[in-house]
Amino acid sequence: MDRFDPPGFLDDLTDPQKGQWSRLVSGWLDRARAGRPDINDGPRAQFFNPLTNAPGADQQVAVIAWNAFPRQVRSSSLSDRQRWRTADSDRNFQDEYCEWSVTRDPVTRKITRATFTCEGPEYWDALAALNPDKVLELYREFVSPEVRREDLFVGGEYNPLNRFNNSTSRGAMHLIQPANTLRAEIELGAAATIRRVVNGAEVTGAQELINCSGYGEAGRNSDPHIGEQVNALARQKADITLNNPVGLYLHEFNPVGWTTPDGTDAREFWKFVRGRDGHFVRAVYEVPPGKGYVVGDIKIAGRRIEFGAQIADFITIKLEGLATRIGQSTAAPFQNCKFGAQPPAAPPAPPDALAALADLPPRGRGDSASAPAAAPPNALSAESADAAERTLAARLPAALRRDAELVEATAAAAPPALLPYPRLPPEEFRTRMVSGKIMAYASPDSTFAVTKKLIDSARRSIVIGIYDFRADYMKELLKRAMRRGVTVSLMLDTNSDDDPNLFPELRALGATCVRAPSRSAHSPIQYFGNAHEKIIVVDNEIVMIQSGNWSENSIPFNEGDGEVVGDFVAGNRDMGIAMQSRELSTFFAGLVARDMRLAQGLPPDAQPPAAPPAAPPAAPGETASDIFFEAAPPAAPERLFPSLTVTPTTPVRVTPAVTPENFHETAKTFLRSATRSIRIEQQYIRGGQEAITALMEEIKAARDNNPDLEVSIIVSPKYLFGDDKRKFLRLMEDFEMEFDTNFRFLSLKHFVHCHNKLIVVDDEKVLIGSQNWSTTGVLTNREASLLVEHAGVASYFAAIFDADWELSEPTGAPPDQFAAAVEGLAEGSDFASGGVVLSSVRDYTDV
Amino acid sequence: MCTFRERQRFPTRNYPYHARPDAAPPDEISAEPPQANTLYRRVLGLDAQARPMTPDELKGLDDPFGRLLRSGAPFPLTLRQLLAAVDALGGTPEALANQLVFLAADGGHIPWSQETDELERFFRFAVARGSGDFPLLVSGSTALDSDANGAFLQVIGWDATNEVFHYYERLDGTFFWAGMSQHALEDGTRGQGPFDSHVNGSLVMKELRAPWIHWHAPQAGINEEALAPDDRLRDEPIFRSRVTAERLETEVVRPGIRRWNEARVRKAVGADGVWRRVPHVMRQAVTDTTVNLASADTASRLLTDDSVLRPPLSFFLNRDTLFDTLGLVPDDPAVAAVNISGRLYLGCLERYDVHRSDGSIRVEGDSHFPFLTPEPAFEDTHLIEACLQAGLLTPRFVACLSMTDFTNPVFSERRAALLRYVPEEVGGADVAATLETRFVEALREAVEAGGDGGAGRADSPEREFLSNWETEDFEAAFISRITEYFLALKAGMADPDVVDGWFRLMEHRRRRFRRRPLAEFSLTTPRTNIPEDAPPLRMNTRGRAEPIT
Repeated sequence: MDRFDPPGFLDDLTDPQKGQWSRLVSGWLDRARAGRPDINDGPRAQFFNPLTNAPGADQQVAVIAWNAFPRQVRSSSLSDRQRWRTADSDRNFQDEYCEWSVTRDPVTRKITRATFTCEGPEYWDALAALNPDKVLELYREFVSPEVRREDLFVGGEYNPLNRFNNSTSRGAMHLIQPANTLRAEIELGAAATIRRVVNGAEVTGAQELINCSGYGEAGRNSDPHIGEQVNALARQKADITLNNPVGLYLHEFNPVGWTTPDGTDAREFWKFVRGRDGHFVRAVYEVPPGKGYVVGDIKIAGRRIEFGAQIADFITIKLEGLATRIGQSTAAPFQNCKFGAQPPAAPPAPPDALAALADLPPRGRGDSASAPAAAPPNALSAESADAAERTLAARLPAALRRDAELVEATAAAAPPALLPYPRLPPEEFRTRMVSGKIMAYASPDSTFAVTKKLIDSARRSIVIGIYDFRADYMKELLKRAMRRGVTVSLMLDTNSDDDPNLFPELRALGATCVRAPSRSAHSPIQYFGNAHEKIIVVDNEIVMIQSGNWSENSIPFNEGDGEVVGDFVAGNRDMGIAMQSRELSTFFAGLVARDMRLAQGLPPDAQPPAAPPAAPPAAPGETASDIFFEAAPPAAPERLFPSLTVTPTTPVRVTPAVTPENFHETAKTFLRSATRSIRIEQQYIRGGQEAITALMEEIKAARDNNPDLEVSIIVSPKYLFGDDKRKFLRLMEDFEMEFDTNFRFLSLKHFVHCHNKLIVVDDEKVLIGSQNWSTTGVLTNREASLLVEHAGVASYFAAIFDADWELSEPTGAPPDQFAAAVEGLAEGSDFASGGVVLSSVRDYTDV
Repeated sequence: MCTFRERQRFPTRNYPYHARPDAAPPDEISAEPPQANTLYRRVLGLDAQARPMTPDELKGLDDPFGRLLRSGAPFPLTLRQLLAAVDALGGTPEALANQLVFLAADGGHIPWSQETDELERFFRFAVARGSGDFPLLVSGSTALDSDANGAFLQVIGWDATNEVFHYYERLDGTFFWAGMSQHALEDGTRGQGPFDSHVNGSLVMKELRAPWIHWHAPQAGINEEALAPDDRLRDEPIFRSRVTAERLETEVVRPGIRRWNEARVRKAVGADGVWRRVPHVMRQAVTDTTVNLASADTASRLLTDDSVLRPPLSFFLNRDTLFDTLGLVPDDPAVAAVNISGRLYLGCLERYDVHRSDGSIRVEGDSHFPFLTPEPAFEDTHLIEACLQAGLLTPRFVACLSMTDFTNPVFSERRAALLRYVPEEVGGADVAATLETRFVEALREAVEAGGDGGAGRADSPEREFLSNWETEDFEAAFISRITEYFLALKAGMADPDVVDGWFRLMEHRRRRFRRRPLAEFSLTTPRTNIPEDAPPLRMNTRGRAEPIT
């Protein structure tokens, strides 16, 4: 064997291009073989690359097959009809390496055609890079003759989530569900070759292995079974790889019990249309014209076919492993699970640089976190972004670029198919009278100092519900607290393996770690699109509500409280409030605990188990990194503000404002109440979104009632471009907000980014927390804010706002800072030389 | 040298089908030693002794195996020979090219060790052959080349001409016809021979739902670790070609059950439009002629104090009939998310000394998947769906029956008490209306008369049915009742006493199962220290287990 063939022996590429594909696959296999020795997950000595290490004469192909219907949907549904409907509603549910789309008769709504694909997205990335004309040709042949080049390519780059491949009704050209990738398959196949011994016994069960080795999603049909079967070969001391051509394949379709109106064998309507020699990657189920009936007239066990999922019940998907040198491997089993003890042998030299990868950005599990692919992306469409912007956008980090592509899709799409969230009753959001101390703080000035002080003060418990947690030094603070006997509960909206150690490390010390019940966390139980709140409760006495995540830029490591100690660390503008209130602490800790219960499939009001189970982090895979590097701002803010501590002389009115329950109404009422001034400092304000327009209407109403009302808005200019920018400026124009006078961009000379979510009204009241001004932020995510009616606290934030306002030099017209921001992107190698900050995509993610 | 696996005998899988050592000794199989390559018949309940089948009888065996046996070729007496004989049909109209091999073993997920070497796990293959549909199902021990009686070999073939399954078994060097589906329903032969487990004349896969406990399955393979290191089965192609159990469920057993049930329904209606022997059908609506086994789908070994366990939904109600057939399903699946804390369940395991045992070897802990419980059998629930489609039953009638004591999906004496009101025959233009009218009239009369069976009591099942029958907008009302029931279950799921009751109820149902012939193997269910004669339990609508009074 001298090269890897394309999946299914497809002939879309020229011979030299097939060589490029082969090198790409070879690089992936090398990388998978190396694994992650640092987390006891490599090297994978029994996994091999057949190009560099030819299999022996005893080679055996092992077919590993599984049912195409998503098991996780089956498990969470009560009836067949429920599960079929769910699986047909969104490609994101179709996570068994098989996705489908159905075509219906426009009048009768009967299914006329169902298309199934198991082509990995990487192949299409490669094809688009090497032969874009072919991509268009194939779409026209297999999906619709209506497809235009601009439907598929944005700024010259192939958009896999294009409108002809992002739904269950407009076509399915290749896999798009984030977990359905070739690289996930390779990673799984390689990781499963590691034999593991725990407490002296070898781990052999399907579920036990996937739990221990962390190579996939335990809830699927595919991953546990693939892993178990591969590991069974490894236990026979075989060397293992994926058989050529590496790919995922439609295995069998066996419609037993189907009846057609005229008695024709239902198998006759199944056609493989791509692939050959038992390696098929695409199939169509369709009754030929002239039969007088359509797919929807065929019955399965007496029921008409109403869903593509009913057909999927009878499809199996496969991959092919290849075992050789059986009984000869001398690789020793690893002691303990992934993240456990070190591997038995020193890792080999890393593989050669994967040159081919440089041309093709990786994609895999977890990189389309914020929304399902339910609508065409417009943000970067040809109509809305000029060529220069498209060129610049192409340079964004992969995960950030993906997020940008999805911005408008999120706004325009039907709401993602989430579980119906059981809202808390209105009385839970009543105004509380707080007599305890109130601390106000801001980043980069004082957040770390305040947070460290409070975390270090913990004696009993810390409860955290947060969207992003990447700052290692915050992890260390928690670990120190746990060593003091403080119990830690952490709910994190994690879907990335960028920090695979966080949960295991904290869990090892006894922390309860739960993945949030959100789509962005890729939780099997999804009540929210994003769990975007930032809640920290200490000892059930103090609650911190803030805009900043625990990322390096939102809680930069400045030990001084409003003063520079050592070197100043640049960061985002963020703000927060800590409140000494048992009642509010109980409320917010209870909110997090409730979401944790939901995440575990428990009813919201159940008594929790003694310690809820720790959900594993999302399945590993090749992920577009959520970390990237940017140029640090050249200067520190001209003035740093120390935190403010207020001891009220009279009880302060404080109201929790939580999404999805009461934030929107609270914010509207709050804005309308303004008589003198409104200060808004936000990451962004999305134009063209009804819920946001409604907030602007309230400002307008307040203005109408109070002609002298001053409105000042600061937003981030970072990566603001295309439709987002146009719609924002249009919104400002529609509501008579003038640049410089009413709105400005935060100075990027002094801050990395404006990540704040602040509203101050009349220097008397402040609403601060996690809500961005987007539909999801104000209506559907899990978000948390506090409305504090205290002039001292409001004035503190107003003063910082005013300082920021002044730092934003008047320019007469909104400047275009996109190019500068893109130019400021840095390489990891620049980090050590200084002047670079480590940024998290999640600080920029559109939620 | 033979492994224990190869020496394993299957006393319940051959004539005389007695599992218990105290059973009466069998009669002689036949007056004379059976002749090779001769098909005998011995239908227990009909045939006092085996005898060669007559040419006319042989013609009636129009299933693939029947045709193979009367083809004149030597009888294949081992599993390997049998599959080779089917292979040899390739290229002929009889070809059954597709083969699916399944592997079952009760306790098959327990790794082999010196200590478990002789654990009686009863490894067995089920091999489906077909070309699209699978009309031939072969079940045999893993002694692939043995023709010994104890190394059983059974064959079930679908006879599309007569619309029945035929049941064959290898014995004493030849094959015996043990009957056909219809015999399972006839008074003289019901429950006899293979119909002690194939109770209604269909296919049996006890574990007919994920995670298919006891089978080689996606969430738990039966792999080489279950075999002795020197066991040659490890390298056996049939073993290596095994596929996972969901395909047996989806492609073989459920379609097979449907095929026979639909044929039954067709045959139940005479040319005059009269449905005869209606109680034979209705007993499958209100009693458990047999059961399937369900379990939670997270492996027991992964259960910790901090994890949660979701009991199978069918422990709480008849999900097949109520949710799938009738659509009485809450819109929000979270309504039914009943989860038990691992701590509480593990406490039950310890308190009740849960273990597995084959009578000699004890293995600590629960079955591979926890919360193993009998559930309504698909062959029962599907028959009712078939009767709905055929017009004998209406959704309302089925709903009112099923909602009687609905919190006890199996072993409900209350629901079973309704069978006595089912008429023997119904006919007329609207058979469903006739059946309902006669049933309700008979039941009302019993209620009004007081009845020896206590039908007049305020809490009688008859009154419960009537209350259901008189419920307006029954679909919404029943969904509401089901929802309230789940809310009650969820309210109790963190209560140690409530969970303890559920555990004891589960074990009660397992005891009921173990008394049936279907419970062939000791390792099918875990054992506890709860006495076999512990008081029977039921679930009430408040989601609590309580003694049956």
